[in-house]
Amino acid sequence: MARLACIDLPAFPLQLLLRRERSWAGKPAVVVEEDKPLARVLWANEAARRFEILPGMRYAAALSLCSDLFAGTVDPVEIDQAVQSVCELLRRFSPDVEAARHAPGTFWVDASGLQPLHPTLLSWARRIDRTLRHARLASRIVVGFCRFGTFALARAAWQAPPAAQSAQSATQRTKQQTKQRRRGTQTAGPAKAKTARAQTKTPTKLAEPVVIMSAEEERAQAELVSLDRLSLTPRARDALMALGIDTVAGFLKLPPAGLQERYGDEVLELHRIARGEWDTPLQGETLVESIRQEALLDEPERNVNRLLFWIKRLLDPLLAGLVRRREALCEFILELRLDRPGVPGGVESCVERLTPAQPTVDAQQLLPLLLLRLNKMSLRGGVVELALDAVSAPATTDQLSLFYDATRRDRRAARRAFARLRAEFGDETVVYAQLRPAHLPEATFSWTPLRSLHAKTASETNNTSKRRARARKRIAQALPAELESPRQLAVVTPPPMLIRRLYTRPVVLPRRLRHEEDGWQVRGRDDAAVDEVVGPFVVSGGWWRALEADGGVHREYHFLHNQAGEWLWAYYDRPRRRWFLQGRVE
Amino acid sequence: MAFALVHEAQTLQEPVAWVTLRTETFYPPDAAASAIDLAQLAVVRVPQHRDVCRAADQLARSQAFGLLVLDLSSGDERTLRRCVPMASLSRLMGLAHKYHCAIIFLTHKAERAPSLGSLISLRGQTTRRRVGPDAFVCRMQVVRDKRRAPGWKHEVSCRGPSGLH
Repeated sequence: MARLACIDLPAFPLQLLLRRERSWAGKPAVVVEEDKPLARVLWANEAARRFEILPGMRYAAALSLCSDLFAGTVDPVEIDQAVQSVCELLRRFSPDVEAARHAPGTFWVDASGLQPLHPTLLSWARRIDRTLRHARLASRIVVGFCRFGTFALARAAWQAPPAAQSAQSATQRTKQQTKQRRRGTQTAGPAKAKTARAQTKTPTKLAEPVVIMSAEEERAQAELVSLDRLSLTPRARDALMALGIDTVAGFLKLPPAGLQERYGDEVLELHRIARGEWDTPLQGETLVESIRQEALLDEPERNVNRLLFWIKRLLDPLLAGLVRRREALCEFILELRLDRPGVPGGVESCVERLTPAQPTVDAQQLLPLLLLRLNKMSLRGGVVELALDAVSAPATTDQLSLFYDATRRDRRAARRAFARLRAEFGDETVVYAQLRPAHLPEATFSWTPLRSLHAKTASETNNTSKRRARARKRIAQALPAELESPRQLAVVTPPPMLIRRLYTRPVVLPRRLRHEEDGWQVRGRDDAAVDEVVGPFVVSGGWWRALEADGGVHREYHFLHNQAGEWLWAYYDRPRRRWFLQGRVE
Repeated sequence: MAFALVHEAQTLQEPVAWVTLRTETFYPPDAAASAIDLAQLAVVRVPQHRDVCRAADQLARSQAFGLLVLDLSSGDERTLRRCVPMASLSRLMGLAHKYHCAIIFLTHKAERAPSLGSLISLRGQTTRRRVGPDAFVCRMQVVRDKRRAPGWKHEVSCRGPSGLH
């Protein structure tokens, strides 16, 4: 059964603030919305709470309660960066790490299949805990089976109320906390005492990691968790508390339809997650591979041309890596290590930076610049090692597309070209296909002479650039998430169909032999034998003329797959009693 | 895969011409089912293989096209060598550079057979594999790429034509 760990870093923005301002440790400190007197307090540490400073208060009011209060803001960008760095830390322990979207500081990590690496899941969780404490972050880890269960149990273990706690309900909160403390002895056990102590100063150890042994046990314990530990809005939480619903068990008994009507979509979503209806697999981020390319040279190299060939060899995979990431090169970084017996270590480093005219993924634009730079450089020793790296930026569709040029096409010139082709090869040379309602394949279309390309109206001409931009945007949006090749950008919607090749005159096939020892070889003895037949698809018409000279039409179409991997499109003409090759699938 | 490029070019309002022989051609209803605007796809049907490059020369020189597809898949290697001389390739390459036009040669040859010429910028080998009742995977393995390193591949899922399921 799949195992999952929830790692909760309580009051994550406050932890970040106290990690940044180390001298504030142990002193009353709060995170405020913005650096203004009327800004609201978002998070408060235990030292501030002793002065009855609670989240939701105005900063000025909090300052009136404690004149030594320290306050600071935490930028959302800083929180995002911290979330990313924690994700990177956690990836040392499991490849799949997901950060909660709406609750920064909560992470889920895939804990399946780790037994060969770690003797027990508890030891694995302890190692994570130690790593986070080393990074000055306090955490609570629960290893269980589902997202909600692990999340609820991780939240149940820490003492500080969530950020959503409002100052208006402080009195009610105090009563509930007393109630929680009584209940907490059942759910969290000895961790409680540690937790209360831990909140005064971060980072400290909140509690030992917990490993839940069965899904039923996880479910049973999660149902005991108080609602105020979950990410409910204060309004919804207070309303539910007023109804006497203060645990997950009571919450789960509520009908979903009524929840949506009374408390909105957010509460309904939490209800569904708690019921296990939306327990989706972990949505871990894709690891971004480094594109840096390195090479060790056998002999010290001073020849510029040979160096350029070495660089070209590394440049191609570097650019291919950028294209896979849908990025273009803004700046090219070339690191050379020169053989210098005279200097300490015997090697001297040299870094050169090149900037193309515009971000590019085209090696042909970079190589002339590199050649110029290498010619200008005076190498004080032979190059023994070189490395290529790039500063990149998101590429536009234009940069990765085959048709990147927006020059105006002269459609009148196309008419002149068509006229020349008609003069040289005949009037039926330049055509376009026009579909017709018919049954026989050769009758389903006709070739119509094409005199000129579609002449655009004035309004169409004016809007061409806008349409191109929209089309490029559509193509960009239709791109798959993971690119495997540079040209993957070109082949996009709609879902393509294999196109058949049609012979203008069907090819008469040899008659089938009575005994086909090597299988049916459609085009003769040298052909590969047929190993799969799809059909027949009968096209029949003119049966009323069966007694006349032409005998009507009765064809039995088949798709024939041979051992060479071809799909042939053939039919058996019953009146003529012959097989014909109509075309092939390409 | 060639029609995917045709579709992309048409999406970007680039005129496209398909040069082919009169003896065989793509099946237009299939192309229409792949969202190709047939009315905007100029089809040039020439009598012989050697006329394909001459027609392409005229079309590229007109500066009116963003994509030219030269369908030479019915020719064997000897025919291709004779009908696509280096001089023609050189001219077409110059015109493609000058007028920002992409030119694609469709050929049918063995995996180890040489390319049409050293001037070909990108060469891909395509294969097709059936993976389900109405599902195919077309794969292009790039064996030569002058702009980037060769060796990359591109796969696209396709559905079969009517009846092939």
